[in-house]
Amino acid sequence: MSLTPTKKTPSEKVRTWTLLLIPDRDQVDVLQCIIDVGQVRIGLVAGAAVVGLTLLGLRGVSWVPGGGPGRAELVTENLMLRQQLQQIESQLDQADATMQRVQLYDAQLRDMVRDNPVRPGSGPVDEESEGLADEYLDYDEDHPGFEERDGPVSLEAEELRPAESWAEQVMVRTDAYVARLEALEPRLGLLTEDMEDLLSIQAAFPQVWPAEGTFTSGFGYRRSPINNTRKFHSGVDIAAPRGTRVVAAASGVVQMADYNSGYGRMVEIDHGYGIVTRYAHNSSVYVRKGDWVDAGQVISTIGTTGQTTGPHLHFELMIDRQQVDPLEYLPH
Amino acid sequence: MRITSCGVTDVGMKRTNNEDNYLINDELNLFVCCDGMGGHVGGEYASAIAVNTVEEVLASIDSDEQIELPDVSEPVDRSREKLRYAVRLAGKRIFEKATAEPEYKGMGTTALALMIDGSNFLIAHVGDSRGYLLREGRIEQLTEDHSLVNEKVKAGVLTAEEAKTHKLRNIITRSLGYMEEVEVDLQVRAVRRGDKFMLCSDGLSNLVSTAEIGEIMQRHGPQHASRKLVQMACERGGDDNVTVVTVRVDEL
Repeated sequence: MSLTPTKKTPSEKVRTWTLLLIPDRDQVDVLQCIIDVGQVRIGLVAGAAVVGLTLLGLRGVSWVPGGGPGRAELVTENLMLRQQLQQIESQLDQADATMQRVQLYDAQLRDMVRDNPVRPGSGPVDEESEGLADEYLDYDEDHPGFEERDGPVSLEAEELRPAESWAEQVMVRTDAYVARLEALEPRLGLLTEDMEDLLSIQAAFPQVWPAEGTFTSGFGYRRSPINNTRKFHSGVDIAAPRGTRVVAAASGVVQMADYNSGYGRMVEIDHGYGIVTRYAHNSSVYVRKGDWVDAGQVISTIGTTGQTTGPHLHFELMIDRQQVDPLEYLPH
Repeated sequence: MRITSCGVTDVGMKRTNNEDNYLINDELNLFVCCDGMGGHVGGEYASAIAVNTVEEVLASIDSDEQIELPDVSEPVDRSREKLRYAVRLAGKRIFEKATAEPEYKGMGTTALALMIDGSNFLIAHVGDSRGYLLREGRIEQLTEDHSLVNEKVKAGVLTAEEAKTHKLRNIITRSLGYMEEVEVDLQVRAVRRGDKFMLCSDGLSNLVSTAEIGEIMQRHGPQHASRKLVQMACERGGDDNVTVVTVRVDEL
């Protein structure tokens, strides 16, 4: 008798074996039988399972003498419990995937908050909250993670696993999971606050052009059109017919709506975070000090009040009381 | 086969370090663009691991008997599996590094790889780095972003126009490094003489439109096109690192 693998290449595992029964004398045929290793394994597992469950059943019977649940019921119950455990494990796997995605978003949002160089004015983003940001930047070290498992557990192993220690493993995993979620929650809370700060800072900058018209003069030194001397131009000029609508470049509170000899009828809007916009030479003004305006809301019309040579809007952007070039902040 | 290509990367106008990495390998006809992220040093490291691993795997896979690829008969399917394996291994290496060493915790990268193989081109991607093809004067975006806003566009919650200016447009849903096993999107199509490809990080695609990309690629050769595109992104604010790899198939 000899036992030889039917198929063998260096890279492949042996799948089937051929069992040859060779008689001592020549006249009888050689008996050949091909054994599939997989089938054998399944057979072994099935056998072991039957033995195991039978033992369990017997134990059950010995614990509950007379009138207790029958063996068949115990076997069914055992199978059901095993199925439930399997279900819980696959749910945990799904939760794992979700957690990984959350961590991916978390990392990216933190990058966004950290990379954003905008820190103007006296808004709520200060040293203290930056410190907080640092606090949640390094995380995780103390929190239990999952033990990595070596690939999917095969059905055979599943069947052979003792139910008690298996259930214990699932419990440990669940506990670790809950701990990790609990650790993540405050981090996400802090992150949300920082993101809100970041987004409201961004919203405080000009979102829309204050008027439609011809861009006639930029920010910086220029020859004054009034008296032809070299003068600093503190904003940008947009020329348009008298009566053209002027809108708030971003949402905010009107901090001034008044007349000024140079600027004429002018409006100033405070957008928070030290960001203020100024609209000058209006013909009519529709807002009053203290009004809340949305980005894009009409606040006045273009005119020639104050020192002008023709109807246009003079638009200024100030960050911490410093005039800056609005073109750098206006949308392209 | 004769291919002309050129890669350009720039830190941009706002960032202090460049987390992008790209690769051109003329022997393998392999072009890779990766946009790293996470932590102070992690991003650059993750994208470097990615480009190096993809190159290393594709250069050695045919002589390496340890690697088992799915059993496929067609050569083109084999190439596809090789590329998939290379990108997945890169992801695995980054994941392991990020898990083992605290200073690299949370690092990840996008991956975009183009391989021209005989009569086909293969493109593999994870994340929001994009591949474009200019063929017969028409520009086509080859890859679909794995990003939060793109998911919302597909779900009909957001229009494509809104997505372009969405505050969270840079958040990606798939990346190398966060998951031990990552799903890689792969395409194989026939390549034609005269095809022009462009691989880029979102530092470019956020600031330069598809139509503009097509125009520049149509008008210029790889060297000029790559430089011109990077320059355009920088002029428009350069919010992020910008990387462009342009490839032209001169002869098959």
